[in-house]
Amino acid sequence: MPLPEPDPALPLAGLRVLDFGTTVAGPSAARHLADFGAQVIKIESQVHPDTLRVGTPYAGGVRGLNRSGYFAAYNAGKLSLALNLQKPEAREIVRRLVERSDVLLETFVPGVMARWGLTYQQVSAWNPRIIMASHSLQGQWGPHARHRGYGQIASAMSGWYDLTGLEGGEPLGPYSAYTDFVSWPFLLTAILVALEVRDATGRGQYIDHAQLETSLHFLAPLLLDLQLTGRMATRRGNREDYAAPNNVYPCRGDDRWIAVTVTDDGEWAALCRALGHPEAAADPRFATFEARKAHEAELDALIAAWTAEEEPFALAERLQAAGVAAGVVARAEDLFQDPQLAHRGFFRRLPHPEIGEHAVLTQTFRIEGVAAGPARAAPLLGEHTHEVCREVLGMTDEEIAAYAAAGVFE
Amino acid sequence: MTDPVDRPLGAYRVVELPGPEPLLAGKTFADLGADVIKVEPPGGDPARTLPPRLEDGPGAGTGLAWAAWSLGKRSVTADLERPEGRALVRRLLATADVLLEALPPGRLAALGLDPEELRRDHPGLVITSLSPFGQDGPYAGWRGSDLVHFAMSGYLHMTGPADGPPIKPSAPYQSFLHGSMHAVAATLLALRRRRRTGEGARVDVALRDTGVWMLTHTYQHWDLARVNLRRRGSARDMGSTTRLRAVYRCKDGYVVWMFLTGHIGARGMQALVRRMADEGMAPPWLQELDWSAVDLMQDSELPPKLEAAFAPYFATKTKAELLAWAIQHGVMLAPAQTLREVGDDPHLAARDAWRTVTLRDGAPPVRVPGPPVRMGGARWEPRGRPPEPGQHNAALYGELGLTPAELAALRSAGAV
Repeated sequence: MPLPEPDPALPLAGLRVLDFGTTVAGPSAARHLADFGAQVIKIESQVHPDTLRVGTPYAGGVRGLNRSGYFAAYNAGKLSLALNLQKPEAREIVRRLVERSDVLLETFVPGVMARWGLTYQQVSAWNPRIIMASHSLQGQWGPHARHRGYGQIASAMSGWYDLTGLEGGEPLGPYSAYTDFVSWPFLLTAILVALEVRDATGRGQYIDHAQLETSLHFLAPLLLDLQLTGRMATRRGNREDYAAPNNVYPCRGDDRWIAVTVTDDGEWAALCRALGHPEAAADPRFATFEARKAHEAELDALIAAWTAEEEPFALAERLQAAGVAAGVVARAEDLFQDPQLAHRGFFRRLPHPEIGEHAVLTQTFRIEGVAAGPARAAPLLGEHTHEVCREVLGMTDEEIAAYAAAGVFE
Repeated sequence: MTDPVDRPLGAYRVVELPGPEPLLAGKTFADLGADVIKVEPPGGDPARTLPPRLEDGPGAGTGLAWAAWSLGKRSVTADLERPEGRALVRRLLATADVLLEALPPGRLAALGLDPEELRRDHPGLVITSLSPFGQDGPYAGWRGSDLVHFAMSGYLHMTGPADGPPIKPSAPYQSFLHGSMHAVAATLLALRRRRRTGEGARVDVALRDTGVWMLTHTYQHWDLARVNLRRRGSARDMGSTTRLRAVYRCKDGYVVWMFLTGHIGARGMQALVRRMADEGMAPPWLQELDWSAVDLMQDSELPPKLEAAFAPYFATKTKAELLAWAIQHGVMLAPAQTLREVGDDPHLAARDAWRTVTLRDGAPPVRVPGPPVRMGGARWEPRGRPPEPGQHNAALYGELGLTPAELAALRSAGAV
């Protein structure tokens, strides 16, 4: 079967991307390149598959390299080439791919690509127009460059664990690998910017992208505050300087909460009315922003008592109708009932030979007139090995068979 | 001639309307060389005073979010509520490639700056809008906030103590920042398309949706297994089991340690247990475990036993000792650094990851994050201080052809 053709009307149609990324950050950036028209070839092997292929959940609860819903999310729309980089013959295939590609993205621990002889110096000698992006926790060089780990480790180093928890409690950290998600849009931006530079100069670029460094941009005001006033931000539950109340409040049901943010007195009065306690708006402990801040624990306890017997979704509708920023703390199940996500077509159901029909997230943005992918589910491991060798690299069936016999595609 | 790599987006002009949501988007465009013009109401964007703030002394009232994310922009004032102000913005947009805005959906049209019409008048313009839930649909009119965005995305449900409330990171404006960076990438995609078609586009970024992108395997657990994962403190819900906690007390704070086995984690585990054994702190059963085969899915009794075995060991070490050792042995462990420690991080210093600026005349020098993109050979410096409101009125409105007399008339009418 011939390789699927990307939609030629998409903004990145005609570009070819080699995705050596694993787990979340690199593959998320590469998935956006695929969603917007690039041909993205994911390179992995049976020996060293992308870690997410062994991440839960598995379709039907049955383990298998092609059954992970976790992998399916961040790799939809890509092609898969199985290539065992530990085989010396693999290098020749990488060279031929590099010669025909626009972007090479990798997320190995710094030093691994060099061990395979795949430095930027080498890659750009093969193809001076290629853009090579290396994504890592702390960058390609420096005293901590070889620090191993996932985004949790970069999150610890950049302050997110210290910044997430209850006031006075131990650090808990934000869910999962927070810095992966801070980082990949910067990585995608870097690649798109390098394409602009290439248009102007004809040259490719090397991008040294570090999760730790991108995090600094998200913490910049707090870092300025520390330098200028000596105040050091740390964890304090859901409190914010600019709002009171700003918290979650229990509702009817098991582990059901509503989030509410009030930034001025008008919203406060509206909240009191909508919760059936209009008299509270004039209570001097809460009448002004400063007063609410000074009595925030009491304020939270009062609202929690008001909301405890409310049905959370009906309450959110009621508070929004009153002009108060409020929303249910959603669990995964709720996202599939969310009318706004449905309106945006946020989840797309795609067929997959082993997983079956399943939901894949699209993007957080819509570009008018652009029918973004993913057009297909994530690939099986090595699903497109033959087609890529034949159609992209121009190999004969005999050459392919010889490489296969040498174990290069395992 | 400047090397394009130093100012890769130098060909673009970006107009950014008021509000905190697009601040980092505009700042990133400015960092990358674009000419970014913030349009503020006369008297200044209310986002200028968002906390954290300087409370007293020179510069009192300065919002540090504004300061951090306005470096390198220019500022003009124009009152969007008045026809003269809108006319100025229209003239400015005739010279722009990108409009960044985060007014409530429908507000731009209500002000008489209908995006459809702007696109008709300026077919190449990319209009990138940030909003809580998107420009249309049943929640388009809903109010958002950082907390509400995180809540409705499902991310909040996954963060916090197992027996307590859902919480978000205690750093403000996170969903605006995620949204800003998604907006930058989306805008660049639209500009890339324009290169081929000549057409601009409307780009519609939903801040809430950035939280859904951070859920890793959470929505799939519902879709494929009908399981709602939930928060478990620093441990992680894996559906049928819970990973070990990730946070441990050490001598001078906390460390984050990722318990991993199999081909990814076995080597690090062996190194850790060997070291504990050398110090007489590894019970025999721990030393006998085969880390390439340990599978928490098969043995749900194991996590608490393991936590109880490792916690006392970490408690005997400092953050610095554990970090140095983790890097050397490939163990996935790191100190939970405070912001002060982030500021003092020797690795960031060695990589020249900061730049020094002053926020206004006579202010002390401060360090700000370095380049958002590290591209080989680029010489990168932040481009100027945060502007005063309307600091560039004369220059920019002059460029648009306004005479000083016309500008003075607008000023006395309160339109700029």
